[in-house]
Amino acid sequence: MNDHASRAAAFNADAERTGWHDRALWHVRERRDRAAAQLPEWEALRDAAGEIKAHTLSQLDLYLERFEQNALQAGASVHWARDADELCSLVHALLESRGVSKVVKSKSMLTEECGLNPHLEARGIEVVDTDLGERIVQLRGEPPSHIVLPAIHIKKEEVGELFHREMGSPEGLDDPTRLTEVARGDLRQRFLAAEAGITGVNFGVAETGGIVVCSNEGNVDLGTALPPLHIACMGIEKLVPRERDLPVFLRLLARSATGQAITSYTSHFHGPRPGGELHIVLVDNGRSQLLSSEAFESALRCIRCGACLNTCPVYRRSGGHSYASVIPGPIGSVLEPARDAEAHASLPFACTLCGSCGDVCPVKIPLSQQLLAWRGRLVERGHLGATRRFAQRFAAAVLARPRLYAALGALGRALGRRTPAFLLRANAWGRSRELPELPHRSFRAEWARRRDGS
Amino acid sequence: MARSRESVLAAVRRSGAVERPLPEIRFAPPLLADPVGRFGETLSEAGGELRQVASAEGVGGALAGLPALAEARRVVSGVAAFASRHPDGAPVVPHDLLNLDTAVAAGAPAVAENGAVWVVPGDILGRAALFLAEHLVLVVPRTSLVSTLHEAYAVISAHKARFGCFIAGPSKTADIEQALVIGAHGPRTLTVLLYGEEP
Repeated sequence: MNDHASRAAAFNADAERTGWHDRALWHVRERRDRAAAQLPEWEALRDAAGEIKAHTLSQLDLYLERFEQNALQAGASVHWARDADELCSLVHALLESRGVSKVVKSKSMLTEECGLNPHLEARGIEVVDTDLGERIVQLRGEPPSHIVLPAIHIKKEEVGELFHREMGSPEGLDDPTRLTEVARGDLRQRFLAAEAGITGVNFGVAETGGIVVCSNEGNVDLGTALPPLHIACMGIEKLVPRERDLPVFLRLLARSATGQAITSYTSHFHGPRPGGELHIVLVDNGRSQLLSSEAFESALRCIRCGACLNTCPVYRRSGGHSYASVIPGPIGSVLEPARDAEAHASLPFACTLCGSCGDVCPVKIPLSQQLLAWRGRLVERGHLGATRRFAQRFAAAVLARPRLYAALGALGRALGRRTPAFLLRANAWGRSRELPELPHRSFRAEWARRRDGS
Repeated sequence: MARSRESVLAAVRRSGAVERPLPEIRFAPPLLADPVGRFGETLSEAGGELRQVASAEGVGGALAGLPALAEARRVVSGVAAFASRHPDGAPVVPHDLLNLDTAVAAGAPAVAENGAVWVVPGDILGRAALFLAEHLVLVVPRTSLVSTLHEAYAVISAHKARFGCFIAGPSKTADIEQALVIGAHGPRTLTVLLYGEEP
């Protein structure tokens, strides 16, 4: 079956790797906790960030127009794309008209979402992802498994083999420092040869028309300082009203993402560099539709920090690829069904409703409530698997009939004690569990006995 | 194109959201007993190193003594106290800076809570140098030190520069098994030289 549970089972086939993945992400979560604890105003910052985004989304048309006007004033070109296809053809047209055949790209989940790389590559343009993690997954022909740590699922020995094959590094090299050095040398040449740089956008400022891009490696800045053409792809939800709103988000973003107080580079662009071009593409691709959904609209506040992924007990133990979506984890499980409910119907069920995602979210998206809401809608739309559908109908029928409930309870207690272990193993939940010792009397019988009998 | 613009805006308007209030941003700066000490700590956590010199006059001498500059053959400097070094001729385009040893730039303010320094390079060569150099040195007046990012934004007017960057530490990555590696694509070291007496 092609659902999250079966893909997670495949990931869990290697128990050692699952444990390693779980621990690596928990470590990042702990770093986030330490960083958050250092700021007494942490909760007030989260409130402010959530309110600023809620306000901006409630006036998004005005802020988009204001942003466009100010970006144009600053000398940038502004383009609009309704969907992924429009973004891809727009970017391709820009590159083609300027005779560009080599592009360096820094990390952008939006271009992943829109399939920009394959679109450009199919038209003869070389696209090099320059973020180290993104480069690793690009060379492996895989999508990122995490929105901030794209190669978190890959071991250093595997990176060593990959670099040996692709970049000619010595065989058996698995030291992260030396591997990074190999990639640095290889990518430096590509930065120098590039004719255009494509970046994502972390924040757009409506009152100034500026864009802000955050990175640790410096790839954003090399990719925009060397080639004269900078194309910035930006989801329409990335706006904040004012420059003074930026510190609220920047103080939360890196602390939530990796536990750093701020990324190494927080770059602000206002118009193109002298003699160069800056093109900002505002992309909708389903965002305006999400905006009109009362239940899920607040998911557009997301600043892509990845904290909900790191904390999620399901994500940590199932790996990003088990979600088979551009954005995995809790936020992905809310966003992806909005794009294609049928294809991603299993994601909102890949959740224990523990609520940890919403607790760490820096913009206070009520993620677990939204996941629960999705479940309801998916059931209504008939996207629930046959087993689950039957089980839920059966449970509803039993729970609505107290006598039937009592009778089946007695039957269950009697049969449960006689169930052979292999039958239990046939069930997904039973595979790694033992049945508890079943009581001889029901709770209600025991209650009645103690009340009347004592 | 115009059609896409109108269509996106119309779709956004159709959502019919009720206006939610925009909060005022009021975060009182913490009273730091030792702001310079705090900046040194956060800079060090970000992988950078703090040096101090008591007066503006001492900046040239202090720079000349830094390891990142003492041995450097090729230097792009954006500060008057230290001359650029171009043994192979003056660079014209960013690509000429491929073998740059060290970049020196002025920055302000410095932010105690996160070790960041706001830098606005003078031109595209100065901008490229910040990221192409093996080593980066930022020269920052001590009086510019603020405690949080809110205060920093209150003074920088970011939009007045075509390009401005908060730089916190050298270039780094942890993309291979979460192991921190300094010197991903950009500078391998960052030294912040704070000058001036205590206010």
